[in-house]
Amino acid sequence: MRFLTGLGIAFFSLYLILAVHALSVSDKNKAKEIEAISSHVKDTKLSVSFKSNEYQRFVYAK
Amino acid sequence: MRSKNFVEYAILLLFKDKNDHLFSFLIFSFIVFILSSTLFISDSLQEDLLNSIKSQPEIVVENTRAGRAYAMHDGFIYDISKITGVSNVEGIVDGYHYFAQKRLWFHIIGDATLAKDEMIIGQGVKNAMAELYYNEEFHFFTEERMIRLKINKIAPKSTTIISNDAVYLHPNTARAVLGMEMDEYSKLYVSVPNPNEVGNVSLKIVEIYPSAKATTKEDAISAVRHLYYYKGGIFMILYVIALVSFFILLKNQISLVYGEKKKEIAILRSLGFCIKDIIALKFIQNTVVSVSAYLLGVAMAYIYVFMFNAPYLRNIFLGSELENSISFTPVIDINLLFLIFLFGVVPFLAFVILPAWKIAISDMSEAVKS
Repeated sequence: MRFLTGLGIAFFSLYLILAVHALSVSDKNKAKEIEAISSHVKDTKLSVSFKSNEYQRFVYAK
Repeated sequence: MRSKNFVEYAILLLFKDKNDHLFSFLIFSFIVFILSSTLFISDSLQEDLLNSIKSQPEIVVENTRAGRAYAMHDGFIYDISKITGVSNVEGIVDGYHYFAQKRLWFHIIGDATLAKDEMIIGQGVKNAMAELYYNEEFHFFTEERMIRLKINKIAPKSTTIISNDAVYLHPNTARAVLGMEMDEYSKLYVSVPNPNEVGNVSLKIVEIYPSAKATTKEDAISAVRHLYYYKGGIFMILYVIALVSFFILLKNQISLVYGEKKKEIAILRSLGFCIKDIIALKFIQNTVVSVSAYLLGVAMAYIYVFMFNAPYLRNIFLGSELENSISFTPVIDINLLFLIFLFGVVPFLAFVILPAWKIAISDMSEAVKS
């Protein structure tokens, strides 16, 4: 029983830390900054290195 | 309700055979960790992208010629603005500039709020430029000339999801960099105040210009939802294959172990343990193993993705060519975690308890003799 109680307490503390982290990360500021950019550049896209394979082929063409 | 001593005995047995249980614990934790990490990343990216397309116009028009993106001129704006239901049409400059020294593409975006000599760059672009000592200004090499621009501002780190490869310029400067004429546009933003008319207007645009592509806001939202659709289709099949292979491995291992433990089960039976007790014993042991493995896998995935920003794994989602310092917003889909629990822990218990039950109902005198 002592082992089960210990395991329960360990997981409870671990998840408590994660919950505190999730609540402390302020995503409001991030959302505001993203909205600020997208308000004048309206058609936003995911910023990845290469838009498509065609672009990649061009870059690595020998 | 089992007595406290019975539970303690089950835990004692668990420790006695810890090496056998450790294998399934580690493999199961790892599978839950990988599954949860992938889903945490895709959910987080999706959430931020959906936030970013809130102000997207009702329709975005792009033109093609010979299957490639092609510029539009003022005639397009005039024709589309004459369609009933359209309140405004705005021409946009947008394209890609090849940065040959680093073999990278920069996304050039026209932003009318900037001055002609102003330039805002994303974090990834800043790092790529800095590697070649472009710290104060940058030189765009075009077919005709070299355009020298001062780096005025860096886009905030929190916006790297949409700005990492972006260079924001005044539309006319962007045209000069992209080699476009003054009356040319890459895209048109079409405003339609009545949401019921959006579908009709987009059909009319394609009717007037068959080579054009009209993307409605709804299409853009569903594209984002399907960008990393790891909950369905081919990815679901991959998950199922991974889980089934794990369970086959687990079943083989358990059968092997239980073959050796036949004598132990037989002794317990002869001591007065009924089949129900044997199953309860194995159930308690394996519930501790599987639930702990599940909780550990999910917690590790959270720490890996939201605290350490998923090193290595994020490159699969965002590419590794342009350094991306993205920070993932914690988004947790409880339904999905419950689904992983349901498809992970329940079959795990079933695969372990079935062999134990099979042995418990067999002839015990034979087992004791062997």
